[in-house]
Amino acid sequence: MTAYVARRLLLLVPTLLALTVLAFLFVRALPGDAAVAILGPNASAESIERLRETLGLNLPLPQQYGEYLAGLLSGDLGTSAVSQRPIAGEIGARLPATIELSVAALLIGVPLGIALGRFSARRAGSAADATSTVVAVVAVSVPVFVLGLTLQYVFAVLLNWFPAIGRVTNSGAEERITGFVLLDAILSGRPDLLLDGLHHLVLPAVTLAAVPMAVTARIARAAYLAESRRPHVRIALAKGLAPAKVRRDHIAHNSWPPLVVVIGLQLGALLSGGIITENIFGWGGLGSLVVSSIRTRDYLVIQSGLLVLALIYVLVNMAVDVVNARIDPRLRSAR
Amino acid sequence: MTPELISPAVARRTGVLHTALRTPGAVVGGAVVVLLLLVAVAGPLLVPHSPTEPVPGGLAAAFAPPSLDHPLGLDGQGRDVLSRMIAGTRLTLAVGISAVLVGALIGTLVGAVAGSVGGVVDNATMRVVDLLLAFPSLLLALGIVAAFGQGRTQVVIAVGVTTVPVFARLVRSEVQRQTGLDYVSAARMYGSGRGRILLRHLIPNSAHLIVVQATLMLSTTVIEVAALGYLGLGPADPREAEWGSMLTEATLTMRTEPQLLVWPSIALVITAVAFNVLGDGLRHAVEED
Amino acid sequence: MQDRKSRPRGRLLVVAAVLSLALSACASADSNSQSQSSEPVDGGVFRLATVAEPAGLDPALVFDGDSYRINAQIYETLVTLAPGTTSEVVPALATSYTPNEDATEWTFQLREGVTFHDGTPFDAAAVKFNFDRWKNFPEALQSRAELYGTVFGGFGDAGILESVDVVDERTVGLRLSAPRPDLPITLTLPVFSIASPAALQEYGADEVDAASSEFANEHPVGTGPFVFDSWTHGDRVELVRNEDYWDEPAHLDRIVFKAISDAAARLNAVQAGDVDGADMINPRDVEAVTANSSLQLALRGSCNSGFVAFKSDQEPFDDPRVRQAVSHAINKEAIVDRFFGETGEPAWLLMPESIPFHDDSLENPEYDPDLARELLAEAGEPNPVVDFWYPTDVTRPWLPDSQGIFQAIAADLEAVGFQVTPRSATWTAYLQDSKTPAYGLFLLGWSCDYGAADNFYGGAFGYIDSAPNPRYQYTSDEFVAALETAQVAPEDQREAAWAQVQRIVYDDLPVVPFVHGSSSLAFSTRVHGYEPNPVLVEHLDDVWLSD
Repeated sequence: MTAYVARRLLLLVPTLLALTVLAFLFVRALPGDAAVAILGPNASAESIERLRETLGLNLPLPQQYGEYLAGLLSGDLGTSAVSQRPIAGEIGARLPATIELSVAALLIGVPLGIALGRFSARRAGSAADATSTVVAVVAVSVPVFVLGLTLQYVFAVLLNWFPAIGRVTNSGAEERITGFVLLDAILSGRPDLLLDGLHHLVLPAVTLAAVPMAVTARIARAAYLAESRRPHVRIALAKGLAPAKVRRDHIAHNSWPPLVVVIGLQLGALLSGGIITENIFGWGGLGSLVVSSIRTRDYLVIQSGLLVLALIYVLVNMAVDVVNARIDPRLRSAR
Repeated sequence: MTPELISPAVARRTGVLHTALRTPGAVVGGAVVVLLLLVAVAGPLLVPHSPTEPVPGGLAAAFAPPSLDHPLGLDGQGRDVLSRMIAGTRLTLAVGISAVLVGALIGTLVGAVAGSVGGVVDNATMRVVDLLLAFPSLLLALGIVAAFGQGRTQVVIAVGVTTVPVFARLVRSEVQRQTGLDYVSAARMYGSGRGRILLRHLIPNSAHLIVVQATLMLSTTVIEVAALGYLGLGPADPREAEWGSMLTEATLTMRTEPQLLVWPSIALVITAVAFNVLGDGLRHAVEED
Repeated sequence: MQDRKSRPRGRLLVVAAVLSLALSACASADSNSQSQSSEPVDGGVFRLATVAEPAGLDPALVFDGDSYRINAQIYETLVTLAPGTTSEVVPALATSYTPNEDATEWTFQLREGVTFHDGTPFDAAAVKFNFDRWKNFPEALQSRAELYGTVFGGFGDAGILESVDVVDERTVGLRLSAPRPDLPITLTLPVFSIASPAALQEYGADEVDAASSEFANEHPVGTGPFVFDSWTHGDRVELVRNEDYWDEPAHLDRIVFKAISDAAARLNAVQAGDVDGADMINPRDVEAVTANSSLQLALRGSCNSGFVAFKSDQEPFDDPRVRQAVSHAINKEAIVDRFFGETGEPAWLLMPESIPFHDDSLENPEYDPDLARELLAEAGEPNPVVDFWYPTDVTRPWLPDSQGIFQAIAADLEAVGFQVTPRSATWTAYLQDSKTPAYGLFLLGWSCDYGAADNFYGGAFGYIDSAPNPRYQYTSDEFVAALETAQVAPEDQREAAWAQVQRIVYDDLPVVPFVHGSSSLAFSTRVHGYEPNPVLVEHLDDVWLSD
């Protein structure tokens, strides 16, 4: 197991390098010039040229990339052209919000999806199965902005059950330690703030959970069905083991690995959906930062934002593989 | 050609439809898809009014409630909503299908090459494909539209590219599986080149899988297009009827005119469910076959 | 505001006018628009949902409305606008000022007993420090501090600000190399906020290379009624009451500015009670706000116009008959009715009626599609094929629904024979690219910085380095001459001079204005004393919350 983890970590190095290359090239492919973006359209040609030199934009691409990489390694992501703040700080400030929301959405969507998927699998072919399949498809086919705004209007405005926006009530009494609202509440021993944070989390997390819920349900159903048709399950049942025990010990256990993989892959969808969800619920995370940077042509922020999002994705998926390898030893040699 | 060289999947193909038609869900889904396609094709003949021109009176008639002449009422520009819904079927499906086609085409090519060449090429290509997966698709699409400007073609390409990894992975694994099959070895023994085998056998024999996957991806692309529109990077001509743009437009007046949000949402859901159920049915048929 | 980057630089005022604008005594802002029935209560947290985060809290370097409003609480200017007005200058940090005869030397008498939030005293040296800082901005900061360049005709010695002299502790003299009779109203601009010299130095406000000035992010220090507390990037800015304010301390304990870009979500938030106020309400939702007994609406009034703009040097728009055709083709009333409701008025001049010297004798060109068709035929262009541009991701008082308004205007144009190809871009790109020839026909607007004819006409169409504004390519010697005359006309001739400017632009039609729009805010009924202002300099020290 240790060797496996070590190998995975080693493989991470070329992956990360490739990520930086992609992010770097992606931004170079965008039209316009970072120097013009910083100085504005009225800047003189000389001052643009001077800034291009300062930023190293006049160097050949490989050399630019080298300097970019060197900066990365020393933790310097550059400065935002719009806010004039260091990008590392900008991203760091928004990251906790995005992570909190994504994790919450997974915690809601995945168990619900598994439950729904197993429910259909056990009744495969029945009307109940068809209904839950349709429910899952509906959940992915309503655009997230329609779902979010509707949930907000119904549950925050009409029913007033949940807050419409924000991560906390903004009473001015919150203490910022880690940037994670829930964690900060626990660290500062404030159960009231914890409840407040959870209360705020419900609507955006449910909005964002719709897609993972649906996808998980689909995979869970398929995995469960596939497992239940395998020989060892049939033998266990033939031996006279209680069906409930067989379901728990054999089918459920072995249907985990594909599920775990899907949960990892879901992260991409989560981070995408998060962009719009963050917008609607005043969440202020990383996704909305990248979107506003694309609009304002803030190239360095786009580059770093993309890099960080991709990094999260890669790391989580590596963790997924490791977890899976624990569950299913066969996978350790497979990759 | 000797009989051995007939690919197994060719013989299989006819059976798949039969199997699929045995699942009631797939039948209903298939029927709805056919209906949608019919509406898309015949749309211009079916619309009671112009979907893009306001009724006489124009803006003054905006948001008129349903009437006999306009069963779903008028939209914010004074256009007939029913006509826009009908005409929108064509554009919505066209955009979604073209995007999927873009993704399927590139993905198939990449996956087939990686799968049949193998070795370093395979490793490197698939790593890049995996990395593409690591960038959130909406952001990728946003970036592409930002780079190439706003317009329908750009949107189609942007959304299409985000589906490349799915197709690439699928085709690669299928190609790898088939490479081990007897008929491929036989073809090779008869002296067929790698490219020929790829084009004549491996890709055609993966076609059914690609079609199934494309059916399943369709609703995803349609919704992604709508999301781009919401973020202000959608197709440039909002006058054309397309369900996603209609939704974006409707969010601005969702308080006062919620009905404008309802119709396109229902249409999107029906389309998605139909294509998914059909796709599922086809997939099961393929797997069982 | 939207168009600020195109402001002409280096246009100077040539002739002097004798001014005697001695200021009246301190005008206390106590015109409470919402409810005057009860006594103000102290305390409470006021949460306002804004459209965007501020760009920064160094007032000299930002010019977006959301920064303006926050900075207006932390900082003060020498003089400011009376609450709710765009052109009435009242004292703030200066109690009075006197110009010399030709408006080249200005003496400001400073208020006593004012201290910055960091405890350092506000005095003549502090004022001099700030003016010197602006004047000597390093080049990299100059493009971010453009309004200084506009008012003083350039930075350093290129500008007309010769020197700032400390006469005594309470008296400051500004010496100009050319007259600027309207200096007082320009000094109400938030970019001329006086910041603490100690904090500016300590927190590296001008260090360009570090670029992330600590001052603008973590330590903005002014003299205003509220003190900076915290800025959670991507989320909110919080201010607390300045207990040592030189005037009556503010009622509120704390203000939270929370950024929510989606208009529907902002309204949901105020209605659900998560915030106490929401900015930029969609005009379609105004009725929902007024009909709701737990909400109240505040209209800002208009200091702007939305228009269809041309490149006047491009075919087919170089033919005045084509521009006139556009003007007669657009059904302004219908557009205003549908997209603005109570929050807009049809427009035909660049500036709304409330601006001094507005020419009431000019009338709205009639909506007449037949005439438009005739004009196109006369011009030999019965069916001009045109690209028509609109921005996609922006909300402005003059453009609450860009896609909707675009479609309505495009339909009007097609009805008279134009063949329109829609083109769109996101706002930042749009502003930059609309200066290029690709944008022959496009939607744009002008929001004022303060309510004066010069800010509209000089700002939009004044020449930059003796060339027309590239955005419009409006070339007219007659206009330039009339503008220069009006800018320095003696008081008794100003009305006629500005009428002349308006008449020329009205006839030439470099743009076709269609609306003077007003943005609005929704408040819970707990909120009292919020005085809205179209230039967004809104002082919140009189805001209080009931119960």
